[in-house]
Amino acid sequence: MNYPFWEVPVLGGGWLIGLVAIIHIYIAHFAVGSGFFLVYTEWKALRRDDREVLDYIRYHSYFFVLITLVSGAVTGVGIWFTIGLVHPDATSALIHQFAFVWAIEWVFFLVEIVAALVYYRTWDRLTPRQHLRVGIVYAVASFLSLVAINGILTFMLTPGRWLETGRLWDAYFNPGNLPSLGLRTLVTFSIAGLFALVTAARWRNAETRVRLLRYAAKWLVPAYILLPLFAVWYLLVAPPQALQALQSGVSVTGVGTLAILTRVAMLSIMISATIGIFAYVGPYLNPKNFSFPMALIFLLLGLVVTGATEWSREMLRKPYVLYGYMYSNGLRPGDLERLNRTGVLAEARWATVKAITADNRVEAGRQMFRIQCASCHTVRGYRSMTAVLKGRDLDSLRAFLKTLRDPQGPYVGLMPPLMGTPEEEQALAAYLLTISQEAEGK
Amino acid sequence: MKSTNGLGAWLEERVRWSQLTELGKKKEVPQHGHTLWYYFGGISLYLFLIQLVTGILLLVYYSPTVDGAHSSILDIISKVEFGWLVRSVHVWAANLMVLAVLIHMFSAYFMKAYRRPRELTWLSGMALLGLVMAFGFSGYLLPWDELAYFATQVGLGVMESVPLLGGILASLLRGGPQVGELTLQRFFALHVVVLPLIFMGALGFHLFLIQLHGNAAPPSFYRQPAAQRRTIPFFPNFFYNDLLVWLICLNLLSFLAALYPWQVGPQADPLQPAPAGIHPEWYFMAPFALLKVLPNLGPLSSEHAGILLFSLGGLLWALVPFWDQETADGRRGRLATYAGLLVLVALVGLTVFGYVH
Repeated sequence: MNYPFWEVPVLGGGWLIGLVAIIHIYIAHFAVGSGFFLVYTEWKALRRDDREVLDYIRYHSYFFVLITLVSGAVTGVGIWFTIGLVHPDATSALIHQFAFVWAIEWVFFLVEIVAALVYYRTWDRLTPRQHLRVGIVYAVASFLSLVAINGILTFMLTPGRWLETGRLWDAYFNPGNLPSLGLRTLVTFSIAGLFALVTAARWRNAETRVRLLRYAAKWLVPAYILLPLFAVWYLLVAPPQALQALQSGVSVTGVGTLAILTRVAMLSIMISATIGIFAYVGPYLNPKNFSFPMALIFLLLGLVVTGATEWSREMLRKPYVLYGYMYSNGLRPGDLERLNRTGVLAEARWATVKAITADNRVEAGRQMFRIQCASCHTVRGYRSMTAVLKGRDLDSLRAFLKTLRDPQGPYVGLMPPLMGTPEEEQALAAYLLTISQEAEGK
Repeated sequence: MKSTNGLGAWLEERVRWSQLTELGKKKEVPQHGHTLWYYFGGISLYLFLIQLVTGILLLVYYSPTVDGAHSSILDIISKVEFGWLVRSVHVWAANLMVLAVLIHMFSAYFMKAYRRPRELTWLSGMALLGLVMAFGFSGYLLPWDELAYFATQVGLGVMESVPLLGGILASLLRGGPQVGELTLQRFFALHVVVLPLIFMGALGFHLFLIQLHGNAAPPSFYRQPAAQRRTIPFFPNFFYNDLLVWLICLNLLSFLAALYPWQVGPQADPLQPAPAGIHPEWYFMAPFALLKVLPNLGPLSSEHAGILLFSLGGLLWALVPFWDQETADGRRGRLATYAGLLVLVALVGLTVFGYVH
């Protein structure tokens, strides 16, 4: 409530972050996995004195530097911009908690970038041993940057003992940290394999191409053996309420539930399995007929599965942005009683309506909507209010807002409770009525 | 691939399965710029298999009565675990199957795959297309919701106005003066027993012919010197690619079913007036739109004119192997290609028109 609210029409702020973050996560996992891929492949080729594979890995490193340094860095900065604008309260809470971890991550990141550039530029200038060492520096630094950021991400779902102690140590080494690190590390191998398929499919020499394709496909194997184990571990430490949400769509598809979470999680499993089967049937069993467009299709599938999985992970947290500590709209469970007494608008620093009168009621309601609803809902677009409110009159809107306050209501666990004074609630109802009437008008 | 001991040998002695792989290896798939279109036959087949499996699963809970149909669908999508998934996949796959079959048909048409000796392959394909449409028409009524009820009424009405056979056929299907319990039962019997039996017979014949003659390639492929014609073995190479394409289809289906689960409208109430904007499924939209735009032509009512036009066009289309045979100057061939393009544009245009209008 300390920051102005940035409303993203149609798409919604969440998806704006999502679009940038999903691409970033995909590329970042590629960057980490490729550290292992480049170094291991180069080491193996050196031991066998395999000139062709060395040429290939050099070619692959060019492709790798281009993608990770350009798109990875741009989207990485993009995440900071979007989360800062869309979720300033949550971003601020995270920065205050994790300033040191982020400083450490930044150091690793810098080492990573320098090492990547040196690795790419010194194929002819360093001895093979020295060059391999640069690769190892890159691989270690990029893996450690994953280790650093992973703990912050899992903190958001499983803050664990930090809720009582407030210590950085407890915040970082939260229950979700290790299972998630395992999951992500395995995923980095797979994504490195998927990207390697793209460059391998373009290799001129047919015999080497077949060899490279089969080799690249093998990088997906560890994930397909160990991923289920880590996934189970991850779900075991997740909050019970989140697990319930995950199962809410087994038998229903209705709105007003988290059923979509089940469906998207199902897609994630389905597409992951597809990529695994594909890697076996395609480049492994039938490398001769594996073409560049096929590699691109499955690169795209990898992006889709990354998106589906990360989206599900974000949804598991509903209605919180920091589980048990801060709701998706930036308000905190601890604020509830105070704000019901003193009012949300009175405390919100950028709200212009402080005292509600008959004249400014709708405007006050609009500001309530921005503060409490618009983090997840758009007026017309993603999670559209127009679609939800169409046909409702003032009485039904008021009744609906009442259920949002009810500690036993149907929306507990899906949406944050409504906060504010009774007058503010009336104002919100008055504003929602304008949306409902506009929807009727169309 | 002959094993000399163990299960392989045991099976070999009894079912001679090595002959099956031999058969698959014998078939060569031509490689050229239009190879992509070959996959649509396989996609249609795959979607049919999906229909078979999901259809059987739906049978476990569906009840084909006027009182029970709609509520059993509601139970399937809101009580049965993953019932929504099975039903959504069934409906989505049905729509995609019609699309895949249409693409397959047009690609066969433009490749001139119907020419000697493949006339019967083409004709059996046309029969399969008709059966797919019949599957769609009969399946559409089964949820017994408002839109399905009235669209079926309109569809049967159109059928009734076909001279000679139309009236008999429509009343056979309807089972009475009104769309009701008997109609539902008959559509159900058609959809789950009669059509699948005929379909599998026709499909078997179609596939047998394809195995016999191999894939047809466009005329440009045959104009190349024999040494330059590239082919790959159907088994295992093309088959693996087929599997990959099927996997992609499965993903597309899951994607559609998960993000756009098929909903069901309010229960049909024959006593209510038909709601506004009743229209058939998209694959019947083109003839439906044509009936609406055609003026009365002399003694023919617009309805009769439309039916006549579609019947004649369909007949000409089905008989293309007999009027477009290979000639030395290739003029007939070009004519057929232009006619095909015209039909394609007209179908797409009428469909779009039907939705916009």
